[in-house]
Amino acid sequence: MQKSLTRRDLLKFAGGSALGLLFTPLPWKLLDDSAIWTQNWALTPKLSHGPITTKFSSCTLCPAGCAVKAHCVDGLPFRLTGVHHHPMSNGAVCARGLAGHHLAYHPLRMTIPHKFSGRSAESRLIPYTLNNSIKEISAAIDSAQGSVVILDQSPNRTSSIIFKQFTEKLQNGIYATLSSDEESTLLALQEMFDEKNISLGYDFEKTEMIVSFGAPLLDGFGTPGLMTKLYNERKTSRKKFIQIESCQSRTALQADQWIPIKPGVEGIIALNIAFVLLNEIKLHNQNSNGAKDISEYKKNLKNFIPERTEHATGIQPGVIRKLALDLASARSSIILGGADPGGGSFGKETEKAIAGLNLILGNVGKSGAITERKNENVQAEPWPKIPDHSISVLIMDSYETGYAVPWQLIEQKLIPDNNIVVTLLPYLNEISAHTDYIIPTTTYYESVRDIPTPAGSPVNTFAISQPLLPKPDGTIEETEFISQVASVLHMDFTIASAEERIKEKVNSIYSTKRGKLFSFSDGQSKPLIDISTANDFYSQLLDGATWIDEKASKNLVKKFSLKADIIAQPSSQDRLLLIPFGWRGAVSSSSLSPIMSKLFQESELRENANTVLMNPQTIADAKLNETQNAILETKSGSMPVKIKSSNTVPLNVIYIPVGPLPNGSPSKAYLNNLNALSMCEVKSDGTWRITNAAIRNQTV
Amino acid sequence: MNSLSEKKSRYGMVIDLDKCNGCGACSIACTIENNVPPAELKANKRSGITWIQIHTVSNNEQYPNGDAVFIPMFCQQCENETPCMTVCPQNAVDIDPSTGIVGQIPQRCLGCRYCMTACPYHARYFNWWDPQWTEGMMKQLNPEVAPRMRGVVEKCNFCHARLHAARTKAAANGESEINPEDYIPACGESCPSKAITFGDLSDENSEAAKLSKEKNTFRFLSRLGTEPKVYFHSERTWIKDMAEKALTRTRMEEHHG
Repeated sequence: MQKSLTRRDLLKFAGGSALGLLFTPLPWKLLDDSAIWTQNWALTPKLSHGPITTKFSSCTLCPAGCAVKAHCVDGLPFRLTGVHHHPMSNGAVCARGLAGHHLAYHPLRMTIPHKFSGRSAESRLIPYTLNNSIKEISAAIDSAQGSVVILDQSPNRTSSIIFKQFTEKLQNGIYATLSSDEESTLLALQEMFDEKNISLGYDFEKTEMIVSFGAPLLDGFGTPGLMTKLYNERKTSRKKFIQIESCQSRTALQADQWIPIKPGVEGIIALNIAFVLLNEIKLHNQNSNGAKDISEYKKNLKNFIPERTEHATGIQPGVIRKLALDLASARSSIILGGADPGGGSFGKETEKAIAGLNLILGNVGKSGAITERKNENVQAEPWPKIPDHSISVLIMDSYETGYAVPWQLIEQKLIPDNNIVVTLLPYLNEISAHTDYIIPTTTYYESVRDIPTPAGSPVNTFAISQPLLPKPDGTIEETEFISQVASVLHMDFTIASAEERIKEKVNSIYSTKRGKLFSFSDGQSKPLIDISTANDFYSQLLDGATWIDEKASKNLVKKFSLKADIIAQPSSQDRLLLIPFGWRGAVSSSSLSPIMSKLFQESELRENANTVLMNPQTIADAKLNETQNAILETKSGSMPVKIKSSNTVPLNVIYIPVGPLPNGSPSKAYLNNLNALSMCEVKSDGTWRITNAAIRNQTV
Repeated sequence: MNSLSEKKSRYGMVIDLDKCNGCGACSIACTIENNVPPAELKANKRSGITWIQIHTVSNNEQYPNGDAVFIPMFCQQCENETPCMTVCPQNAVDIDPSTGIVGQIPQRCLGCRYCMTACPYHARYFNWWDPQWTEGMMKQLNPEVAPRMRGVVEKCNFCHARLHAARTKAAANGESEINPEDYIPACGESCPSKAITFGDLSDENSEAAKLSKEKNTFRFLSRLGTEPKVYFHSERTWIKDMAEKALTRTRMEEHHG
């Protein structure tokens, strides 16, 4: 008998199957699998295997050159730590340095040369060959109407000597440096001496009192490990940190005394103090004998009686007098000026006024104050002295020093519409995005590098940064680039390898038989004379060691001029003031490991580039809404910003961070857009600390 | 033969807030040590992963009379009625009885985030996105710590891998106890200000135990009775007063604008 299959039978079968399926493991398996699938990621990290080894090197992210111990697996570093008992870095590495080994793999890293199709934000970035780049750059040098300048942003290395020699061989060549803002007071001081060939440093360790006009002493200044050590030892050392600054910066927050002032009056306050010291306390010391123009200086100071300037400075005369008295009674003191990594220097007039206080107090050439060290600097033309609109070809060795350089500062020296700018830098960043060629050099820990004496160090030092990472194909050493350009130009110019140059430097130090060598592995120091040969000295430096020279013992008493240029009193504040600030090493997008997002993006410890800080009262007065985006306007243009209320900022001030962009991979157009620095007005003296600005709510 | 598990420890920390300058070295060292990935493009302070989140807390005085402090906040290693552990339906949180360390087991975690809600310190983080490193950075991951996957919670575990390494070293040397110098979490090791003191709180001779009993040492939200093993020290009284209330209020304020 044949049974026909009805529609009902099919439905029953389907229904029964569906019901039965629930009692099988299949749906549960699917549920489980989908749960697992959602927890899987496309990119499965494969951890390296192998024995863990350690290697010593020195950090080159900033001039401090802190000693590091690299923990490696499979030959690559996975963790960097400090070297205990190091006389300078004191076992510490800053946050940026701890992640320095990541920078070779930064999203903005470049390993082949690139050329821009133009200077505008829309211009395209085109991969280019090294040979063609060198040919075109050489041709531009050959036919340059104006000067050919190499701007060395990390001076006094052995590479710096090559740059200088190369420019000397060119008829129109100039070797220039942009001084690190950390040494701006010292440079001002050096200029005040009749004798020019001197090098000065701060003896912070032995000083009793440090008065800082806005220098971020406790936020990355100098060698951060040393500064934090000195700060924490105050209970026993009785050292005093006094910060004179308009905003309550991190240093102001931690200083023993913060003297809040109106923005832009630092020079006036320095001359107020000078007036009290010389005309009221009648301070007289050996140093004052060197002043050629002391009577004229004292006369000029009468314009800076604290009572007369109280309205401009916002400081009660009693505070100035108390500070002057404390300084006069301190056994030793250091007074230093502006060094904000984002805001740059105060300018020559103000720095001279601040530097002059050290001369009046007899702080120069004294242990525990400002000491002289042997001048080993490679002589260079300071960037501000280069005439405006005079450069045809600019080669920027952009080995970053951690200090901001506004593009306007570079641009004002170029011959308009007839120039070529080359950056020797392995990153696309806020500066290289404006140039014509990016020639990718090796980056941190990829090649052997020498670490000369950091700016402001009281003694000469030397260390070698050993490579920890392989050098990628396509990159070139900066001196090799110069060598190839010289060859195309048929110049008689031979360049020794980096190793040979460093060896030569080591030999020259060894021949002095001075100083001591601190070894990273055993934490011991031994006199240089105890090292048998120069080769031994070199191999110990390679294995991880720092050479530290002896302190100069002589007292520096030289003829100098105190001439205080008239410092303009700031005009009444009818607009908001834009004041940039930064954190050393974090002023561009390429100089930070992507994991620094923990500080900038995933927490509010540090502000991102597009966030401005304002006093709550100023926000209310300007009828701004903190939760909405706002538009910041200056003469340079406008940019969208986020407002953050902060009681650390004075009234009528917009405190803007020169910091990284919110994520690690911005576009060239983004980099070329207006940012904190390009919103600032770069004045004729090369400063950009204060700019008039306006801010309004962004209308949708 | 001596056994390493014979002695019970209570690992803890004392953080000197008067020394902390908010440099962020602890947070970065922790991130590198524990293979925490960089931020996803959309991540922010609520959705990102920072095992140590450094809060800047001010006394709310107007300029120029204000004062502020940097507070590194991370898992406080609660000992009593550990809130995250009590609410976890998966037993993905446990306390090691031999060390007192509150551990998180990502393999068991189903990502319900009850523990995040329960944690009074907001010190737990959820992996909202797949962890991503650039190709080169991937080769620089710490070989001793497994990266976590999307959909699970993670938090500070006092660098547990370092404890394992110290125990292995002690065992290899035939010693019954680890050398305290061999076990220091990455944050304590990297702090340039030496503001973080780590040690065994049950060892009365340890520096951490001594500091934890000092006059101006306190714990955050101690009124909850969870007995955290992370202590803070400050001579400034407003910070101590704030320690009882500020953190919860901050988050509440954020929620309610």
